[in-house]
Amino acid sequence: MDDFAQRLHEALTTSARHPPDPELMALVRVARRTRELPLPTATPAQIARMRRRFEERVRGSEGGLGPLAAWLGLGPRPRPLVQRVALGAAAAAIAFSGGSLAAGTTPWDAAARVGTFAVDAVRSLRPGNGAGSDEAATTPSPTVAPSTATPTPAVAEPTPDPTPEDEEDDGQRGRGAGISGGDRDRTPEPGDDRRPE
Amino acid sequence: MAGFASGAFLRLAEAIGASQSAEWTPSPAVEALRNRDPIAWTHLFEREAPAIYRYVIARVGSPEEAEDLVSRTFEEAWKHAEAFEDRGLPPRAWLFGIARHLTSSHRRRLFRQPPVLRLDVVEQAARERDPELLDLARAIARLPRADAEVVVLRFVHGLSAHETAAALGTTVDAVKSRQARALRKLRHALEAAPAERAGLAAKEG
Repeated sequence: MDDFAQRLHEALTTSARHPPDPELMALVRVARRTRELPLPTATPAQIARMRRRFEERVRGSEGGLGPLAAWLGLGPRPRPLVQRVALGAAAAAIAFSGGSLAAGTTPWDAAARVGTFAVDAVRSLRPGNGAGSDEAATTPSPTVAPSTATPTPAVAEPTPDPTPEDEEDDGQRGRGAGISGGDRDRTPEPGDDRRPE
Repeated sequence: MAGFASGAFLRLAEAIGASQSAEWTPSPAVEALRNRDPIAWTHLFEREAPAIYRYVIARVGSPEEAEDLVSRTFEEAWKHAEAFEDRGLPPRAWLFGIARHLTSSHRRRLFRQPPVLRLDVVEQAARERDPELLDLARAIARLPRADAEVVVLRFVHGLSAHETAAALGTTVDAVKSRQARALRKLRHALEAAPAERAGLAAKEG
């Protein structure tokens, strides 16, 4: 860059309206004239349209992010690391269950089985096993029948119900009663091994 | 083109960041933009969209296309927000750089880019206001592209030399040299313009 260019730059950027050099003065004047070029300006309606379009595009690109990109922490609002690690672990457990593949099941089957197991476990932990409800006691079903058909019903539910009879019913009425509770106090009789109709 | 543009925008953001001091701490405003804070982006849009629109429409001529390019400019900036670094330059330089990239590749035919200044955009208003302005617009349109870009960004849109350098991806010294060369050419063109006009009028008469 030559010295003239530097002096011109200083003349353009400083507020001195009359630089000493006549050529500099002429060039500064040309630069100032250039600012007066009448370019079209955007109307408020155009600004509003552009803004709306920008927002739509941003929303579109937000939604367009694939799950992989989101998991990698990309995108406008990356998920916390803990969530991403947990999701990654779950995905890896499903994807890398090679054992299940070797056993002839797909990873999705394995995942479904895990889910089924979890549901069964929760049901098993429920007091009364979900079978002590009024509906289950009154409605015979094949799943309930084997316990009634067992000749040793007292063994099936050996734990006595600690809840007093007069305790307020909290929606678990029939707990300890119904099939297992009723069988506990009864002596097995001939014909008890009949399946309920 | 998307891949190229993406890389170009990242380089542009880095160039803007690298144009000043080496050590920096992002200002809260820049941090808000980097974190894609909606309020910060709304303010940025309202402040800069009119200037970006003027730049784009001067190059493409069509208001509809200009609107689309402006919204795309902000979209690209938003997508690469985390790449923007605060080195003392306002985001305007970054936005102008993105707008320049998008406009240059818009309706590009082989090696021909849209002009830096379309005469038909300013012609009527310039003629009505001052014939010398029309001469000036014609002179800018005849400048070599690199010089014309410096003139338009520096003087028509009012960017500083640093901002212009960042938007063009060049050095501040190069901007100073180009502006000196371009202004000399414009001065000569303006001095010759009245005689040219008179000659044209005589021919037509």
